[in-house]
Amino acid sequence: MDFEQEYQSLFTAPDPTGRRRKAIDSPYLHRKQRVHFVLFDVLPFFGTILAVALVPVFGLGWPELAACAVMWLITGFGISVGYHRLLAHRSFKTRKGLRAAFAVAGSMAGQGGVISWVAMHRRHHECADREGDFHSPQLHGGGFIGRLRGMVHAHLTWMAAHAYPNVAHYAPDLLRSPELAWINRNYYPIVIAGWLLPGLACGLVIGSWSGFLTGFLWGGMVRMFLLEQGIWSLNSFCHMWGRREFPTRDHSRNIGWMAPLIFGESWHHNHHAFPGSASFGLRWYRIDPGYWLIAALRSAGLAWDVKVPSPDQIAQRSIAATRAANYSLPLSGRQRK
Amino acid sequence: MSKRVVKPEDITAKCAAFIAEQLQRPVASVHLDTEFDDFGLDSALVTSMLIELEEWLGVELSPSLVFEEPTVRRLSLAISQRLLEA
Repeated sequence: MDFEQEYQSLFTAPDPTGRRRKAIDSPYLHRKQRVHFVLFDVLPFFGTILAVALVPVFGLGWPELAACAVMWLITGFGISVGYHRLLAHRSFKTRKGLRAAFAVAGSMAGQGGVISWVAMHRRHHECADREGDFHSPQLHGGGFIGRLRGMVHAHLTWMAAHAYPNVAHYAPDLLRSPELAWINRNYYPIVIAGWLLPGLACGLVIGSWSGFLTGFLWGGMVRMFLLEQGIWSLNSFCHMWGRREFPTRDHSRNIGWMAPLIFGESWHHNHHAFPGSASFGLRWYRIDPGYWLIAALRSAGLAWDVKVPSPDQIAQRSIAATRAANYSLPLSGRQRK
Repeated sequence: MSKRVVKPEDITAKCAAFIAEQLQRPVASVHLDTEFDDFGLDSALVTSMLIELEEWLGVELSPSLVFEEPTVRRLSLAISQRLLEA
């Protein structure tokens, strides 16, 4: 593995000639992406409005709130711990069955099939905030208008039609797992199951068809809308505003107050500085529920080889240390070994 | 760029080699009339195969092609047809 891959924790396939095509843009794929966008990115917004509008009609009881909370937790940990920290960056190891369960939970979030998601995320790190990054807010010009357009693109509209990564290049490890390939192929049925299950649960608990409807709306639509807003904020806000601590080549930022709302993911700058780290908070006192789950799994013997940088490594990478050592400062190219 | 003459068999061999490599199985076990789906190839992976073919042949192919012609044999025929027309 070369330095770049090691540094970014990318795990892409070797490309000795350096000429492999890494992404494809095609009207056919754009049409499929638009369907996905309407179903899983636009529909939940209207579903949430409907859910709130129906509260005076059917009321809002603990079954719906529980369904919403439980599904938000399942899909949120599925994305943060499963898709992101386990599969895209391999920051810890776990059993096959648990890995598959994480992939199913992540699929239910409706943010893309597991192989596509991981391939796109690895490309995001490779190109971060430069040409080729699917969802950078920084490539739409300067000034207020340029920044606003960049923000809307990164938060939402990029998903309506985008380049598609060459998965054989970006996710060769996932393609070789029959379970993950199966989960990727059955992505749509899994997302729909994630809508229907909370409906079914609430329908049975409440004992009526209206219970099925409100369960579907709160456990399916509202939780999908809430989780999406959090994850999309990483692409938009966490590449625009917030604190920086390390010299990185991208515009990533830490937004601490958002951490409890998105499973610790908003320590996004830390993540770009240490992509292979299972912990995004990097300090024990920072809120990082995704890492807490990994730590709990480790205590239970279900996770091992959990990668976290030592305090020394973190201190050495800080901007102060870099400045003291007279290295080049943020955004200038990093020296290759 | 000068046009190359590519026989359907060459395309077939290229596809079989790609599938065998991605799924880590012997080339001989890649049957030409099995649908991509039955190999366990999903749309993400067949799109990658198409990218590889495009690069190799120097033509543009629509990703929808692999869904219209979902076996190695049919895909290879369709592509060689397209090369002749081009």
